[in-house]
Amino acid sequence: MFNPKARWDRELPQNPNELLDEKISVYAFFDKGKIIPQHFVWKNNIHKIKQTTYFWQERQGKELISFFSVDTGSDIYQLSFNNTTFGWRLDRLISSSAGPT
Amino acid sequence: MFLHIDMDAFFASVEQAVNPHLKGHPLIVGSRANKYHTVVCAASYEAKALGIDSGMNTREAFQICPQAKFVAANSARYIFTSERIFELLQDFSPNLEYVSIDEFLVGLEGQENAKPLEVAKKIKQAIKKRFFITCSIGIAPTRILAKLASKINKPDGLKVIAPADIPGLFEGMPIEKLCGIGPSLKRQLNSLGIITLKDLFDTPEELLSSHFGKVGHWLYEAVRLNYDLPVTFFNTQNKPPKSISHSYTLARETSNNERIFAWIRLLSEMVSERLRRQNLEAKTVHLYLLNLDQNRGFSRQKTFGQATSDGYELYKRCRLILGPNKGINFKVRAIGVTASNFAPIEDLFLFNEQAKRYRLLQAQDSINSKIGEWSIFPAQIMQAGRK
Repeated sequence: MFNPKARWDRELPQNPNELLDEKISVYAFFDKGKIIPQHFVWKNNIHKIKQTTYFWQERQGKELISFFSVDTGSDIYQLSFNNTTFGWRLDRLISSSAGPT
Repeated sequence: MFLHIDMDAFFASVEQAVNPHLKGHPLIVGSRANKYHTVVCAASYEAKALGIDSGMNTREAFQICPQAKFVAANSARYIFTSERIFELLQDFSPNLEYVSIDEFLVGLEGQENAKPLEVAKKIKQAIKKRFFITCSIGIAPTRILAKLASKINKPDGLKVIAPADIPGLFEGMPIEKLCGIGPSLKRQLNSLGIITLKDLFDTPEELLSSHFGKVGHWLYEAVRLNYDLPVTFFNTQNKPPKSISHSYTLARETSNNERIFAWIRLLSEMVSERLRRQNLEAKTVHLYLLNLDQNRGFSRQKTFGQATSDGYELYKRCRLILGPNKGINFKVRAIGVTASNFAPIEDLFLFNEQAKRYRLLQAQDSINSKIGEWSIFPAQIMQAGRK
């Protein structure tokens, strides 16, 4: 179904395998207004975050979503934190160890 | 003294910061995720070096560099970063202007102790440290020349233009480098033998004025630092906009009138939502429809007696501009709707229907601001997704 929100079809990744969109558990520090994700659990594996490469936020209606691109050493993922529900999601695989996607 | 801050390949640099695996590669940021059916909205310096630049068809770009990496633009990332950079700049001066999403102007007047070069270096360091991206800064006594200076040593550049430097600096520099000289003016100046900024500097005012009138006078004074573009610093930036527009380039050209009308409706709704958010109504509507390949199109505007901020009304006015009962008989690729000639919204209505319509739009805006944009929208827009 056509949704004007996705009118620029930016939400659709070139490679559908990149899209993960799963609820996950994340261990994170909340320090002086900053959120610092440390590791996340996905498919029963703990993925240690070596570095948060970028951070940005987007308001979706009344909800503020914080996005993190995180480097696990082998892969780069996009995580998101909903500042209203306090839920974490694993949005997508940005890049795998094989190189840029 | 002005500092013009120009982010280096902004969208591409942000994407390289998000995904460091993309660093050092030719990178194309496309307006849409479909890599062969979109336009380049930004290119990394590695891609620019090969001749790929913004506005180019991606198919053409991949012909130049088949191994180029591709990502779809993520406007939320760029808007967030741009707003944070603007916040960061407030630590350096209260005199700021948001020139565009990736350009900022800092004025240092009133800060006698501020050393422009030192301030610029600190800004560059702060942006790099916080956002992992670089910018180029131009410093000059006028904003026109500060912008020019910011383009000279890109990327990660820093250039000061002092009045004494001007004749030497202008030697060999093409006139189009000066902000305000577009392709048409460039052609006209070139036809007079004015190719470089030095040529322009050496041209008598009488000659420029006789050919270009006020613009000629402006050109003469601008290169002598006697004329500058107006500056609207953030702390005085409360003026309403002059126009509000939205445009869209379709993935493929279409002659399906229902689909084109649905896109006009969608763009009209986007414009009207911004009008209502700023408590404005518009009297003038401009519509354009383009076929980029055949260089064919339609572009017309009309001013109506009554101002409106209703998307459906804007859409109906676009249809009127097209002509009553007239369809579109060429393949369209790009569509744009602009509203201008503003007045504040009047919520006093002569007819009950108008008041009901106004309440309906308020309810629509309220739902969308609570649940998220486009949670509710006119059904006609569904047609925009048709193949």
